[in-house]
Amino acid sequence: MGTHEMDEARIAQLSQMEPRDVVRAYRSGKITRRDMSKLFAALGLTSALGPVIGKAPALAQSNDLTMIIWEGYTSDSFTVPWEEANDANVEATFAGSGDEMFASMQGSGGTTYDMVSASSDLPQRLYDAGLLAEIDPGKLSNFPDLYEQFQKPPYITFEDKLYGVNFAWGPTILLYNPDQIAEAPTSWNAMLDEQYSGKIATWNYPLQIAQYALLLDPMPEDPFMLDDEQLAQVKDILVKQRPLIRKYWDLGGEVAELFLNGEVVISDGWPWITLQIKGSEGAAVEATPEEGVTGWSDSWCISSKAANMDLALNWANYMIGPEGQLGVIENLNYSITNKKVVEGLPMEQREQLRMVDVPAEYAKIHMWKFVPNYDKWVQVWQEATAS
Amino acid sequence: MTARPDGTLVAETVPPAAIPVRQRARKRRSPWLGLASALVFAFLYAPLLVVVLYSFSATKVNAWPIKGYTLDWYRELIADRDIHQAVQLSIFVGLCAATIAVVLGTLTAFALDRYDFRAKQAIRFFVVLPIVLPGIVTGVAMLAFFTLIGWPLSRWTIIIAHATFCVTLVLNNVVARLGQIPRSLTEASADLGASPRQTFWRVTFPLVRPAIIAGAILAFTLSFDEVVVTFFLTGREKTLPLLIWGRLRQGISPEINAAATVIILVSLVGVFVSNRLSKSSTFGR
Amino acid sequence: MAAPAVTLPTSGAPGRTARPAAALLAAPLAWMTFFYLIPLGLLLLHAFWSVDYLTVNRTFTLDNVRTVISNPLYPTVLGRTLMIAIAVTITDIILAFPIAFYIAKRATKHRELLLMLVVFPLWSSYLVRAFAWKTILGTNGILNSFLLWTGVVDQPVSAFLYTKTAMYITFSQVWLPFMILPLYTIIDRMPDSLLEASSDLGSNWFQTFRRVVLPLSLPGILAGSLSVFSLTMGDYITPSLIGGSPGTELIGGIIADQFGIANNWPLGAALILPVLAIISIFLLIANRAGALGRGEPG
Repeated sequence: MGTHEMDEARIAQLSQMEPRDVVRAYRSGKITRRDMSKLFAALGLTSALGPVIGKAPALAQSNDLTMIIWEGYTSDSFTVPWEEANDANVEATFAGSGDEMFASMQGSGGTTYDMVSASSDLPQRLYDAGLLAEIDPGKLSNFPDLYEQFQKPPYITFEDKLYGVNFAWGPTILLYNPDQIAEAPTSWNAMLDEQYSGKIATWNYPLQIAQYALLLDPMPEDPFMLDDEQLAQVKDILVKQRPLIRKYWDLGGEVAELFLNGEVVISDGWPWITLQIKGSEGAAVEATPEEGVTGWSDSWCISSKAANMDLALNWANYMIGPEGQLGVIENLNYSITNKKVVEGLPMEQREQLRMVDVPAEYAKIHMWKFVPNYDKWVQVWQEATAS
Repeated sequence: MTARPDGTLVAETVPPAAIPVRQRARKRRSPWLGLASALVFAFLYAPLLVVVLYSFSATKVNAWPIKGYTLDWYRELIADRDIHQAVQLSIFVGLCAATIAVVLGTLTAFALDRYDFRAKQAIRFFVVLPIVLPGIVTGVAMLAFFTLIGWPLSRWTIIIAHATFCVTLVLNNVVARLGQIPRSLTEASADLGASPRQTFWRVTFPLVRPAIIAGAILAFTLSFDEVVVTFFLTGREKTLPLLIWGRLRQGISPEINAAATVIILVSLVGVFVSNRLSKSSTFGR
Repeated sequence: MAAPAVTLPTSGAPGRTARPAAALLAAPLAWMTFFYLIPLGLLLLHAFWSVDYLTVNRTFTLDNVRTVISNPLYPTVLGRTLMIAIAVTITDIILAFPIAFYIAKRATKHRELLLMLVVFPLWSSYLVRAFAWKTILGTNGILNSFLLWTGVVDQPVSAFLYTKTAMYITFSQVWLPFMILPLYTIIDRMPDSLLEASSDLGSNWFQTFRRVVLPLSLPGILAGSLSVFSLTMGDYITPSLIGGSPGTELIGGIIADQFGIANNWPLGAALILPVLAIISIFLLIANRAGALGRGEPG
C-alpha cells in the first residue's frame, strides 16, 4: 500500500471535496487509508480513535493471503505444500455465488480479501468497481504454457490489460442419486418433474436463470442475453418449480450433504460436488442434459488493495503450474488451462475432462458471462424463490 | 444479538422493596405445573444434549441410535489451527468490547443514579435501542457508516459494534445495584468525615464491583457468541462464530459439535462464576 | 482503544444539577451518537437513495419505498415474517408461563439452580442451537430415526426440516429464555397473599390465572415479547440453515441479501423501514406499560 505523505495543502484540498468524491477517490486508490485518517483527524472527527485506524495496517503485514473462493480451490493436497514453501498462510472463505464474492470484495473497498476466484461473469463487475489490480503476465513463469485462448480471454482483459489468471473451467451438470432414479435424466426438465417433488434441490444463484432459459422454446441463442419476455418465461418455470424444491442451496458442501442424508435425489451441481458425495460413500452420478449446459471459466483476480501483491501473484502462478493444475484435476475434477500439463495427461483422462480438443469442447458450453440487465435477473430470482 | 438478555432488563431493575418476603405456600399442589415445567425444560435442552451426544458419534451422519463412539472429533479440534486463531480473536474482541462497555455503562449508570435531569428517560430509552432493534439493523447501519468514512473493516470495527450493544447490559446491572445501596450508607460515610472521593472508593465502589464484574462477564459472553452483527463488519480475520457459521453453511460437521461442546462447558463455568458474583451482591438476604 | 478514563463525580453529596451528570455522560453519549445514532441515520438515508449499476446514487428518490410497497413480493414476505414472529411469541408466552410460575412460586430449594438452567442456554452458542435442530429434524435425523425405531412411522417424515414448521420450532426454542426471565421476575413480585385470596374467594386455578396472574404479568409478557418478536423479525441465520428457501423466506434474509449479496443497499435500507416501524410501535407500547424497566432505580 502506497504511503505517500500528504502536505497540509492536500488535506485542505481534500476537506473541500464532497464526501462522496473523497470516498470514490479512496475506493479507486487515488488516496490511501492513511490519507483518509489524516483527513478525518484534520476534520476533528476521529482524533480520539486514531489508533484504531493506525493499528489496522499492522495486521495486514503478515504473510497471510486472504481469499474468497469457490469450494475446493484451496484443497490441502496442493495448498499446504505451497504454504510451507512460501512460509505463507492461506485463509480462504467459501462463497455461495459470484454475487457474494462481489459484495465481499466491495465491502471495505477491497481490503478484506487479497484474491478472488472469479468466474467468467464476475471480473467485469469487479473491474468496473475499481477493485482489481492489473496483472503483469511477465511475472508469471507458467503463463506461456497456457492455451492461447486462456491467456488473455475477454472476460479478464479490459482496455487490453490483464486482470486475472485463468486456471480452471467446467460445466454445471445435472446430479442425481442412481439408487433412487434408475434411468439417467436426459433433460433439465427432470428438475421440474413432479415425481421427485420434495426431493429436488437447486443452486440459489440468479445466474442459474441462464440454465433454466435452456428450457425455453425457442431456446434463446445466448442464454445470458434475455429480454424481458424471456425472463418472464423463465420466471414461470421457476415459480412452477418452487413447490417441488426441498432446498435452495448456497454451497456445494451443503448440497453434497443433502444427497448424503437422503434429503434430495436430484440437483444441479459441479464435478467437485460429485467427488464430495462419492468421497463420503454416497451415491451420485453426473448427467449432461440434451439442452446443453452452462459452465464457468475461473480466474484468480487480485484486489487492488491486496496486502501482499507478490504473494498473490506467486499463488496465481502456482495454480497455473503443474502442482496447482494437477491438484485441481485431482481434488475437483475440473478442466484446466495449462497446455503443457494437459499434454502430459493420459488420453483417457483427457477425454473424461473434455480436454482432447479444448477449444471445441469449451465452445460447447454456454460459459457464464457478464449479464447487462443483471439487476432484473436478481429481481426475477428473488420473486420466484421467495414468494 | 443472539443471546440478548434484554429480558433481564426487567429482572434487574426491580426495586428491592417490591420483592415480597417469601412465604411458603402451604396449600396442596397439583403435579401438573411441575410436569409442564419439566417438559418445557426438556424442549429447552434437547438441542444442547444432541450436540454434546453427537460430538462423540463415530459416523458423520446423525442418526438414532448412535452406532459408535469416538474422540476423533476432539482430536481434530485440537489440531485445527483456524479454530485456534478464531478463538484467540474472539477472546480479544470479547475482552475489548467488555472493557469499553464496562466503562461507558458504569459512567451512564452513575449519572442516572446520582443525578436528576430531564433527559433521563430519553437517555435510558436511547441506550436500550441497540439491543432492542434487530441485530441486522445495527450491523448494516455500521457497515454503511464505516464504508462512508473509509474505515477498513477489521477486528476494531467488530469491537466497536459489540461494545455498543453491550453497554446496556452493564448499565442495567450497575443501575440495579446502585439502586439497592441505601442512601444512609453514603450519608453515614460522609457524617464520619470521609471525603466524597473516599466515600466513593471505600463504600460505593466495593459495593458496586460485583455488578460491574457480572455485567462484564455477560458482555464478554454475548460478544463471544455474536454472529448477526459481526457478519457485516468482519475484516480479514474471523471470529469463532463466523468460522462456525462458514462451516455450518457447508453442512454438518461433527467437529463443530465438538467445538460447541467445549463452548458449552466454558459457558457453564461462566454462568457459575457470574451466578456466584450476583449472589454475593444481594443485600441482607 | 480510545477508552476514556473513569471520571469520578466531583460534587459531594448527590447533586441535583445536570452539570456533573453531563460530565459523566459525555463519553457514553458521544460514543452512542457517533457509533449508533449517526450510522442509523445514515442507513435510513440510504432508503431514499438508489443504486446506479455498482455505486450508490445519492439523489433523493422514493423509488425504493415505492418498490417495497408495490412489489407483491415484499408485503408477502413481511406478512409471513410477521405471522411467524407472532406465532413464536405466543408459543413462548405459553411455554414460559408454567416454568416461570413454578420457579417463582413453587421451587424453594432449587430455585437458584433452576434459574441458572433457564439462563444457561443463552450462554451457549446460538448458531449451534439452531444447527442442532437440523440434526434433529432431518429426513434421516434423530427424530425420524427415533420414530422409525419405535415404529410410530414406517417412512421418514420430510415435513420436519426445511419448512416453516422447522423455523417455527427452532425460533421458539432458541428465544424461549428471553420470555421466561421477565415473566419470572414479574410473577416473583406478586404477593402470595393475592393468589391465596383469590382461591379463598372460591376461584379455581384458571380463574385465578385469568383474573389475577395474567393481568399482573402484562409488563413481563410485553418485555419478553418485545425480545422474542424483535429477534425473530431480524434473523437471517436460522432461516438459511433450517428453512427451505434461500433464506429469503423471511424479511431478515431478504435484507441481509441486499447488503451481503445483491449489493443493493438502498433497497435493503428501504426494507428495514417497515421492520423498524413495526418494532417501534411495539417498543412504544412496551415502554408505556413500563416493560422496559423504570428510568429511576430505587
